[in-house]
Amino acid sequence: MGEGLYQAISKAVTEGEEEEAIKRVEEALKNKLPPIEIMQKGIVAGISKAGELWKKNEYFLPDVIMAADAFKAAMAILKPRLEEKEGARKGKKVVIGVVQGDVHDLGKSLVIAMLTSAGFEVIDLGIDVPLQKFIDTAKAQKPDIIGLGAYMTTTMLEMKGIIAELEKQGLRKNLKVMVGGVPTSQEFADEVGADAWGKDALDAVQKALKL
Amino acid sequence: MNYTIEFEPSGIRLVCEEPITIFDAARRAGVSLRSECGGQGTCGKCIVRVRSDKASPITEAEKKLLSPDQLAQNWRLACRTVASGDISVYIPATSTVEGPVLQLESLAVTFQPQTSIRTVSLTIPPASLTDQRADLQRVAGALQQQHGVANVRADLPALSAMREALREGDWNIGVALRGTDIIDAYPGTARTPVGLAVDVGTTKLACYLVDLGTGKVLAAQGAMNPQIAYGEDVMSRLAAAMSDPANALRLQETVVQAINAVARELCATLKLEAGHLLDTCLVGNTAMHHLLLGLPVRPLALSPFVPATGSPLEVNAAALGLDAAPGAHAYLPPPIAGFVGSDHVAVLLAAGFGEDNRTRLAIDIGTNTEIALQVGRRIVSCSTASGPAFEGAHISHGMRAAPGAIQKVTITSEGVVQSDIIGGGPATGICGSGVLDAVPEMQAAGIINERGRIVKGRPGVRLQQEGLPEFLLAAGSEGHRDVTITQQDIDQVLLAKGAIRAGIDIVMNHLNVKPKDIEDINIAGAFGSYLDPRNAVRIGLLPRVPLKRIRAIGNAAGAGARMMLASTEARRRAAALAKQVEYLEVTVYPGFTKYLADGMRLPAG
Repeated sequence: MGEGLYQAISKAVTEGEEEEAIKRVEEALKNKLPPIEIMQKGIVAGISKAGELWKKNEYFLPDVIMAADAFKAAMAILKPRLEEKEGARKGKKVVIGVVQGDVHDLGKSLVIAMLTSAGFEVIDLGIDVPLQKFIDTAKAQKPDIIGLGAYMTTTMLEMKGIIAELEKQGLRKNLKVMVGGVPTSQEFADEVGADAWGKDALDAVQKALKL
Repeated sequence: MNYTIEFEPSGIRLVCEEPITIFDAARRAGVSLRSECGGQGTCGKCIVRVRSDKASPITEAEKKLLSPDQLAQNWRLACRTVASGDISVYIPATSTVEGPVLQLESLAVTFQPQTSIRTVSLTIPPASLTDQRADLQRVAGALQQQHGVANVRADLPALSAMREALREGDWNIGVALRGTDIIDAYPGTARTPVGLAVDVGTTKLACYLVDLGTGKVLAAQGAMNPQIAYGEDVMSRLAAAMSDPANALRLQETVVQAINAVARELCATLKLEAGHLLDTCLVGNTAMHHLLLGLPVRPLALSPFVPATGSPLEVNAAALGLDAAPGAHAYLPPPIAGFVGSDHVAVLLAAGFGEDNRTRLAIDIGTNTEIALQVGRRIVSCSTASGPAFEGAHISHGMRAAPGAIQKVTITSEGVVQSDIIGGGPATGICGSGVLDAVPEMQAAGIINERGRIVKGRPGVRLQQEGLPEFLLAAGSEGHRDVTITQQDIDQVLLAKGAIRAGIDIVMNHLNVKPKDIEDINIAGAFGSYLDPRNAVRIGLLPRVPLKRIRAIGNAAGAGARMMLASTEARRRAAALAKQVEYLEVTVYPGFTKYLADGMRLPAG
């Protein structure tokens, strides 16, 4: 019964069927299936499949957006149960946020979905995140990677200050910084002193795996 | 140490003291150079050829955007190349800013001109030792006697002009009045009162010389907005202004100089001078508005994107550097929000929004697309980041509608392509209308599926170097490369149309409007004029409405600016409209990502 449900969850996420995904996750929880397996075999498997289809040019953004939405909704239901179980998992830890002045959520959502599918533990700081919050979280959470997103030519200028401040506070030693977003480029990443640049959500995961 | 950068073929030179990128040098020297990214090294449009060994080493960005052949022949990206010694730079025609293709025409607007500005002829009793009244009092007396105007006043520049005119004209002068303010005086008799209306576009300026008495356009002319050297889109320009106060200053000066140059030419056609302009009205998106006024732009560039004012501004034209009569004003109607400017107010004014209770949609398509929906007494507007794909930018074989451009495409069910090429051929690229034609044709012929993916194995489909497919539209011959539509091109079009459609669907949902309720869809701007309504509906850019309800209204922003120039009533209505319009921030609208995803999909056959 477990396998069938996992498959149903996975399929719902891949196809961006948010309500179906929620319904199936709730059903799985009711049936006392282990949350970690619901996540890995259901939700994460589903989003991984969507990423593969995207990579193969069978999916386009709308499909990935819908899959990421379903992923987000399903994870929101599962999350409280996951935390009940100590040390449910742990890949590398990524703290991610959209810089101050920028309220574009979509690109970051896709990156989070793809990172999670690749086994990263992701802490989402949201949008319009002040510099200090990145610094505080870097200290408190000790992530392996900090991901900065900016989706406007005007807001990407914020990134330089954040990276400089991480440097100044001596937090860069065991911490890699990745940047991404529509107006950014590899050259820009070099210029602001980032360790890597993600061209899109798929590329971001590839680069994060190599860091 | 000083060194010289020489630009060819113009021969313009710039002497520098510090190492500088070729891109910045071109800006400083006023040399036209294309850029879509504003010098970020991502668009690959500022290609130049350098002749010197004093150029910085080739960067990663250049290795990516230029071919090994190009690099071997010293082709570089101007924004990635730093000159640190005498250097000669050749700018090919393909890297210069394209000449102005400008739409000045618009729907016929009818309005009652009604302005407080008028001109009168005066014959003044000469000053003498027995009549030593001051000039102003003497003119004021004549105005009261001959035209019944009491209590006139004049500010310093007008006073100065009047003093000279009185003597030069031997006490016969023409006087221009705004209400009871003297704003100009000249020898001789009264001239037709003229003013200038300007639509300050991000890419282009549209200027109209208008008879203030009749509201008629006497002459019209367009020009490129020279701010383009700081980036093709609004955000790049705001970023430039934010990063250096000197840039903000240059952005202000450069656009004013361009307006002045056009004003001079327009006036010359009527044997007038720019100094004869008695009034000006300028509309533009909120960034253009702020940059023109020299207002700080940081709060506009970052969330929550707040404009400095929601009220009209009337300032001395001279304070902005605009050439006009000594006491002339510049009138700037209010923006609606950070991303919906006074140009949109002008569009709504010209299209008659706010005058009835009909259900109407107005769309101004550009890099940012503004959308307004009127239902009853409510008007809701929004802005979406649609990008420049519909203008032919970021399309791999994109070009403007010039000879060699494919403008129409038909594909038979066997995959045979028939294309209509401007000037007959051979094809060298594809323009915006051609792309919009090609996409639904490719879908109908099964070359792309409902997800917008090019289907491998279909006739004409092949793989690009990067592995993504492309579709052959026209095979190259004799030095012409193949013209293709790539998967990335299709994606650009879908992204652009998805952003616009999401905006439309969100305002419709917000006001609970169904497609069948919409009585007319008004498409402003050049794009609307070449957009085939059938294609717009086929690719799902617009909701499914009877095609006759879709109409192009041309440069409606220019029409609205003209109305406001010549009518105080139009100004009042525009200010009221700007207040009445509710701005909706679509990116935080519930379900935005779903609207965007749905907007990007192609409608089923």
